Amino acid sequence: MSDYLELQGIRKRFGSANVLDEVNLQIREGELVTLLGPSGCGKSTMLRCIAGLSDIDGGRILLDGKDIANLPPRSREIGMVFQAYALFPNLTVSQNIEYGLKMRGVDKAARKSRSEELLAIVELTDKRDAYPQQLSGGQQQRVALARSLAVRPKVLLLDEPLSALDAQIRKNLRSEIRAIQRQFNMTTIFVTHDQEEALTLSDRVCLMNKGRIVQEGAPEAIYTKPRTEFVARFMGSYNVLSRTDAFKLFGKVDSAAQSFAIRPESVSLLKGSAESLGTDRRIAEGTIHTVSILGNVIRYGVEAAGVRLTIDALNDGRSLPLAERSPIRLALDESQLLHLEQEGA
Amino acid sequence: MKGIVVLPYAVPGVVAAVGLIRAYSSGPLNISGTAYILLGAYFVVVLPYMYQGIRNSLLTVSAGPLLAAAELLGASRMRAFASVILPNIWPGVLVSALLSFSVLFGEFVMTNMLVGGQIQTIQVYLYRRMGESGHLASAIAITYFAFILILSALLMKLGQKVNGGMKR
Repeated sequence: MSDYLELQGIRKRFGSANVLDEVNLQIREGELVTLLGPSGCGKSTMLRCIAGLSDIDGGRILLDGKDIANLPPRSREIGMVFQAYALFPNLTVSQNIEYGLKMRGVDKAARKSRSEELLAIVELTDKRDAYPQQLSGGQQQRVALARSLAVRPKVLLLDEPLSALDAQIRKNLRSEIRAIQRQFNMTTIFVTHDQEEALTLSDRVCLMNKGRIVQEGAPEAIYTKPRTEFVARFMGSYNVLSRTDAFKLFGKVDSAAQSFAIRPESVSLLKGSAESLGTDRRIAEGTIHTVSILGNVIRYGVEAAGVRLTIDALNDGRSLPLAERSPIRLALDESQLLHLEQEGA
Repeated sequence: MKGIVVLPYAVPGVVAAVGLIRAYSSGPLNISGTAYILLGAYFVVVLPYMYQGIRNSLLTVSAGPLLAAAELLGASRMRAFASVILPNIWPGVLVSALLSFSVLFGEFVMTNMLVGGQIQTIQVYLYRRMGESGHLASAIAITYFAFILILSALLMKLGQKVNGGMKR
């Protein structure tokens, strides 16, 4: 499939600050792409530029072969869901969903059947005559989703749609959004600052920092192969090691890289000496400093050879969490050590 | 914007009136002593009240995202404003308008200086009658008071409706 939405060299400045710095992005039809990044990295601005709510200072936005950069928002055929829902408080749920159709001059019967269809999809049929204030946050966001889908946009933009919701509802709605997106084969851009959300939801993740896309790829690729220190720190609780730290732990480093990363779950804690090890493992002596139980995982803060490491172990119930300040032996696997590029390289 | 709008608070009525009379008693816009100058002056006097009231209403309904949502759904700017902003800020606009009305109703200094000779507002009328007959002045004062009371009651009722409407 060819590119459906294409952003070419998008530039956006606020005063003297470059908010978007020559951003390029191609999205295929039916793909769900996540823009991930810390707050202020430009991801929401990018969404507003695509929607036409902010003007761009340079670049082209091609949708289905047509440059839409100079069109007003209403002519772009783009749907958007906001973090704060932005439902119209003076209209009922079904009036909210029908609003876009009404603006397009669709007749009443057709509007009605379309809104009933969408109400069924978001499972709010019994709330059709309620006002937005009478709904819970999760329900409101589902109405907002239905409202933007009602007009059959070519692209759907989701601007941190889940961040105002609590954890349980967030997870449910997350999979619901994914299911609906697949059902409609909707080309979707999802903005979030939550890396877990990005990894579980997307076909492709674009990690942004300071107005640039620093790395993009499939979720598993971006998680297991961070290119730079920023990506490593943002994507997981990677242990980022300087060259000297890596030397201390592994004794040798066969690379010219200046910084390295190792995933917390790829370091094993050894209890006793009985466990058999592969030849490529290296043993280090250390001390446990902190123990925190995250649920299915226990996170240890360990100091070994003068280097602080975070280590995750599965909370499988077979071993009690190890005590703080107890000595421990670590098995390090050099093949798990990632070589990072310099920032901006 | 906010600074300019709140400026009328800072200028005493007497100063404003003298300035206005000097500015509009000659030149191309000679409207001193007519109803037009009064209208203009009243407009400036109520600006802060209207501005604050409407601004607060706009903030509570978060007008920005609502407008953006409506525009993305295909509404023109005017249509979006009329269909999703105005109905939601309407009670706030009404309260501001009533508040402004009662402020103007009680305004005396500026009115008397600007158009006191030509147009009689209730305050100017009351001031004149006070010199003639105590009974008449009392009657006017009582009527005036009752009227303001009704207006205030209406204002409070509307205010409650606005707050209640937000919670529902």
